Amino acid sequence: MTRKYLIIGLLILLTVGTAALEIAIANPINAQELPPELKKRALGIEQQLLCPQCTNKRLDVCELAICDDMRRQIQHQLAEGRTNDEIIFFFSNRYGQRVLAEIPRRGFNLFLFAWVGASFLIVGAGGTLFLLQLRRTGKKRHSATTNTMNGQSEDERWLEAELTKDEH
Amino acid sequence: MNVTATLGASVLITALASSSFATLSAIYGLQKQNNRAILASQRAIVATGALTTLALFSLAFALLSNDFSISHVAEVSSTNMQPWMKWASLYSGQPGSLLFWTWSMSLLMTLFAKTTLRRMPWGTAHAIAAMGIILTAFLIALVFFASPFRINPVTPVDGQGLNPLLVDPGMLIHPPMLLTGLVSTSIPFVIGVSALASGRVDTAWLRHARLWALASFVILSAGNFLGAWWAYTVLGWGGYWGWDPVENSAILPLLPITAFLHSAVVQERRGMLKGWNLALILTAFALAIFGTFNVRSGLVASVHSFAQSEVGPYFLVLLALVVATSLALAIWRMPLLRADHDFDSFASRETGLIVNTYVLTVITLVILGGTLFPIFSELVNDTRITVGPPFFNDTTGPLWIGLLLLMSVGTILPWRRASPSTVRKRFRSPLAMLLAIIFALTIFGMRNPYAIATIAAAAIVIFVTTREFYLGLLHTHRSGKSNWLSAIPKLFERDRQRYGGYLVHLGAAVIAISIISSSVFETQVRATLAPGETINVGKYQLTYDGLRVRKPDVNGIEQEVVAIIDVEKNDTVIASLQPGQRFFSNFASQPVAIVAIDGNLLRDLYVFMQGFEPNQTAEIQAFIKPLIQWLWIGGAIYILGGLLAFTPIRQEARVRDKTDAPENSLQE
Repeated sequence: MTRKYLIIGLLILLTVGTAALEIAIANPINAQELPPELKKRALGIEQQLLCPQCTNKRLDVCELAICDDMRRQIQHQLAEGRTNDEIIFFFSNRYGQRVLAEIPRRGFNLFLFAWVGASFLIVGAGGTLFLLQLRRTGKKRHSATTNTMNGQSEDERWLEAELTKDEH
Repeated sequence: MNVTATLGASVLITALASSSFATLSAIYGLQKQNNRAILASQRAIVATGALTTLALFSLAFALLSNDFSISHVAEVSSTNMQPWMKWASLYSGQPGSLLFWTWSMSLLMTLFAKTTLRRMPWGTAHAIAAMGIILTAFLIALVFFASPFRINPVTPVDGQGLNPLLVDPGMLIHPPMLLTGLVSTSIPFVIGVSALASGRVDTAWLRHARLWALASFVILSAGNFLGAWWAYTVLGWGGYWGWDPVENSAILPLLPITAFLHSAVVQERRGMLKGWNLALILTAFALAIFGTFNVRSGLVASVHSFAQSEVGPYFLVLLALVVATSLALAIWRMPLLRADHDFDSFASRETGLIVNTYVLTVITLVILGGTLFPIFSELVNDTRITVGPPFFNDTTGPLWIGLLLLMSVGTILPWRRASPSTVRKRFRSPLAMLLAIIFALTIFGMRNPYAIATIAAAAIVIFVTTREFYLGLLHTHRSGKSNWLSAIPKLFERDRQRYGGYLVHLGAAVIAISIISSSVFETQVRATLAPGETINVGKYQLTYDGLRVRKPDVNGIEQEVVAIIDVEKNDTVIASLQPGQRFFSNFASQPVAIVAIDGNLLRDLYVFMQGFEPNQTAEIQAFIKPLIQWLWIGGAIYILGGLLAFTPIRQEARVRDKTDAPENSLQE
C-alpha cells in the first residue's frame, strides 16, 4: 500500500518536474519579461561592451549571432541578480579585454595614458618655450617705436577701427 | 592569352619604367645642369599618368566585360552586378585600391607638373625626382606584390561579387574621395621636399604648398564627411564615427594639413615657423602612408580592412623611408630653418594660430597613440585590447573645445599686437555672450559640462565669424557703392583665404553643435515586437506591422527582409519606415542593415532591425538624434568655405612674377 502511494507520488513528482523543466527550456528569459529597470541596465552594460568579432562595434547595436547570445546572457545574469561590474567582468574574462569599450586604466594600459600625458606635456612645454623665445628675440629686433598697426592691410586697419567703434 | 590582363600588366610595367626614368633623368639633369634631361623627366611623369590611366581603363574594361579569368575581377564583381556598381569594384580589394591610389596620385602629379611646377624653377628637378621616387615605390607594389591583373588558374563561371558593405551608392563616391584625399598629401610633401633639397626654404615654396594643401584639406575633409554619412546611413548602428582604426587613419593626415594651413599664414605674413611648416607638411604625407599601410596590411582588423596582405611589410619599409628621408633633409637644412623671428606680443593673431597648431598636434599624437596601442599591446604584452570611443572622446574632447575657443580668439585678435584696451574692447561682448549662454543653458536644465562648453564655444565662433562677415560686407558695401547682394562675391574676391577660412570655421561650429547634441541628448529604445505591437520612442509611437520580403535580384542581393513600421505622433501617422536586413547570395553570414530614417532639421528618427524570427517577431532599435542633420549642413558649409578659399592660379602667378624671378625656367 505504502509502496503504491510512494510510486504514484514519485510519478507525479517526475511529471511535474519534467513539465517545469520543459517550460523553463521553452521560455528562456527574454527582454520582454525583464522589468524596465533591468532592461535599462542591460542596455547600459551592452554599451560598455564591444562585439568580439567586429572592430569597435558596440554590443548593443551589433547584429551578429554571437552578440545576440551575449545580450541574452546579460539579461539572464541580470535576472539572477548579478551586478553590472560582475557581468562586465564575466565577459572580459571570457573574451579578453578587447570586448571592453573603455580601456581599463591599469597595468600595461597605463603606457597609453602616459603617452597621452607626454604628448600634452611635450607639445605644451615645447610650445611655450618656443613662444617665449619668439618674444625674447622679437623684442630685441623691435624698437619701442614699432607701430602696432604695421603689417595690416588697409582693410584690416579699417576693420580694426570699425570694431573698436562698434564696441563703444 | 588574356589580352586585357596582358595589356594592363605591361602598361603597369611601362609606367614603372617611366617613373624610374623620371627619377633618374631629373637627378642627372640636376647634377649636370641639363635642362633637356629635366624636361624629359617632367614628360615622363606625365607619361606615367597616362600609362596608369590606361591600366585603370583595362581593369574597368575587364570588370565590365565580366572577365573572371582575372582574379581581381572574380573576387570583387559578378555577372548580376549593375554596371555603375562596378565602379566600386574597381577600387575595392587590395590590388584595386592600390591601382586607384597610384592612378589618382599620378594624375595629381601630372596636374602639378603641368601647372605649379613651372612656377617653381628653383625646385623643378627636385620635385620631379621626388614624384618619380614616390610613383616608383607604388608601382613596384602594384607590379610585384599586388597586381590587379593576376590570372586565375581556373576561370570561375561567375565572380564572388562585391563585399556586401560596399554595395551602396555611397560607396561610389566616398572611397575615391578619401583615397584621393590621402594621395593628395603627396603634392605638398613633394613641394616641401624640393624646398628642403634645393635650400629654398623661404616663402616661395609656401605659396604653392598652401594651395595644394588646401586642395588636400578640402578633398580629405569631403572624404571623411562622406565616410561619416555612409557609416550613418549604411552600417546601422546609429552613429557616424566610431574611432575605428581605419577612420582614424583617414583623419590623421587631415590634422597636420589643417595645422599647416594656419601656420603657413603666419610664415607668409610674419616670416616665422619655417621649420614647423615643413615638419607639418612632411608629417601629413607620412601619416597618409601610415593610413594606407594600416588599412591595406590588415594590421588592425576592422570593417574596412578586408584584405590580409603581402604588401604590409613593404609599406612599413616605405613609411620608414619617408620618415627617415624627411628627418634627414630637415636636419641637413637645419641652419637654413632658423627663423627671422618677428614676434611682438602674445596678444596677437599669430599666437592664436600657433597655439591652434599645437592643439592639433596633440590631437594627432593622441589619436595616433590610441590607434597604435592595440598593436603595441599585442606585440609586447601579448594581450589584445580595444581602444574604444570612450578613450578618444575623453582625451580629445577638451582639445576640440579648445580649438573652438581658439577659432574665436584667433579671429578676434589683430596681427602683431593688440593693446590691452583693444583686447578689452574686442573680447568684451563675446565674453559676455559666452557667460550668458552658459548661464542660459544651465538655467534650462542642461547639466552635461561637455555639452554646455561645446555649445557655448561654438555659439561664440558663430557670433564672432558672423560679425566679421557683417563688418566686411559693410565695408565693401560702403566703399564699392555696391548693394549688399553683390558685396558678397566682392568680399571673397578681396580676401578669399580669409573669408573662405571663416566659412570653414562657421561650418565647424555648426558641426560641433550637431555632434554634441546628437550624442548627449540621444534617445535609444530597443524592443522585440510582434505584429501589431507598439513602442514609444520619445514623443513618437512606432507600430510594427509585420515583415515583408523583397527580391531585387541585383548586385548579388539574395533577398531583403524589411519590417513595416508606422510612426505616429499625437495619433497622426507621420511616416512609414521600412528598416530591414539585406542578404547576399555569396556572403551568407554577412547580412547588411537597411537603415530607415525619418528626418528633419530638428531630429532624425533612426530605425534599424537587429533581428527577426520566423514567427514575425522583430527586434527593433530606434534612436532619436537631435540636430544631426546639421552635421551634414555644417559639412557642406565647411567644404564650400574650403572651395571658396582657393585663390585662382592666375592670380597666384601674378604674385609670383612680382616676387621671385625665375632662375632657370624651363622652356617647352
